[in-house]
Amino acid sequence: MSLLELRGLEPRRERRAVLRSLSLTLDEGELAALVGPAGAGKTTALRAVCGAVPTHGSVLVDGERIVPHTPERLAREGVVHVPDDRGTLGSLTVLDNLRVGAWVRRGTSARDLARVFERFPELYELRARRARTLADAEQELLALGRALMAHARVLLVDEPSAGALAVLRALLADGAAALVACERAPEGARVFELARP
Amino acid sequence: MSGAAAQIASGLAGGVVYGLLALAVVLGHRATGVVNLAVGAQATLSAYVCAALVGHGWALWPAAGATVALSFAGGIAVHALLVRPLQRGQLVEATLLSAGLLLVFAGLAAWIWGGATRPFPQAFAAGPATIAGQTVERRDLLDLGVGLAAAAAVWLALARTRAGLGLRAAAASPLGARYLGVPVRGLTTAAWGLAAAVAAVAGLLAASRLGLQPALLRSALLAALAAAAAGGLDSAGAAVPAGLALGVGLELAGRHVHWLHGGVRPALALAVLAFGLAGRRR
Repeated sequence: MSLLELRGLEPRRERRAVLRSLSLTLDEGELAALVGPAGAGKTTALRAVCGAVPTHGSVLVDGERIVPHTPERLAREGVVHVPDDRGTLGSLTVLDNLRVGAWVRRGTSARDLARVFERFPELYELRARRARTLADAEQELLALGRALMAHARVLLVDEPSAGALAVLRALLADGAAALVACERAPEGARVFELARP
Repeated sequence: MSGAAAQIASGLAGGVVYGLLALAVVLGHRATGVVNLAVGAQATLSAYVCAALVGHGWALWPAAGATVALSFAGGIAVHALLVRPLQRGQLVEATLLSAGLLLVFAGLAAWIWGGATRPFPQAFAAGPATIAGQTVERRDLLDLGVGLAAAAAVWLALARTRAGLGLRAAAASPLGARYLGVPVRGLTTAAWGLAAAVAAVAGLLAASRLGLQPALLRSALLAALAAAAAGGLDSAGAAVPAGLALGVGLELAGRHVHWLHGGVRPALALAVLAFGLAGRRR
């Protein structure tokens, strides 16, 4: 039984498919990559996985079909999306961003916060700053920090930087899985070429 | 009692009504992007409901509490049944809907209770109070205290509760919040209810000062929109201070500037509103 399984996932716009149907399975510790040139639909594909765009097909976590197929429902299952804009909660402080990350845990544990700050000491320095004032690379770390607070089991990351990939690999070693979207396949990733229908 | 201190106290007591209405506007706008023009009329309706409860033998304070709770439920119902189905990302439609609700609420109050001004039960006896040698109207201070307590309760709910954190996250980035499992839809509806509850407090305070009339908060709406705009329509922290400042400003202008007759208050409020909106666009 796979941690994450996509069955015939097919994002739609105005009732027409915008990508060829996507099926894949992802196990613990595995890194998979949706690969294609700019405009191939990588961002759309990741949005489809977490249910942020209208989609045919289904998503299974631990072998169970997730219904309704919405971002908030998938977050509760431990599937956290780090979107292209990083999903930064700009008017909140860095600390509050991390606390929202722990939403699905029903509260922020001091131990989880300490774990995030240990992994990302720069976020500790920035904890009282409004998140919108952070540089792009810092916002990416913050997004990963929120996913850590959520105890994410599957991370969906759009265009991860080299630094973010290194963090993801460390998380994979702890039993998570990651599905990334990028133009060139990262080393060691299982590759799925994206294609238009 | 027309000393400067008394005038300022009276302005603050009026201003806290503007501030609470502005807070209601800001809460609704942050959650949905819609400027709810119906807050004043809704608050007036709440005041009528409270008076009706008292007419049925309720004591004033329990009636006020029940009114605030009913207004919370009413705000949730209005958002769930009307605003959300219509909105679907269409701000203009939802704003027009709120203007329609303004007329409906005002019409409802006039239809049920008549257009004449009616007395509103008083929580505080009138009388002077002395602070640091200055004589002010005691009721002004108590009104101010009630209004500030309501604003503080909202601040605590937003800053210190889990739902408040979720609401702030939803306001910052609805999709970003959903990616983390925050139930944005439900919280948005709750925010509309909270706004209605805050507006109800404003309605009760205004009714106790001016008596019950269907047009009770019609002119206050303009000042409330101005106070909300002063903080860019999104700052809950700025709404109440801006309302207080505007209350004092309008009170003093109304007493000391005579060349516009009664027109000076709305003119001043309109000017603040225009400047606030212009600053927001920049």
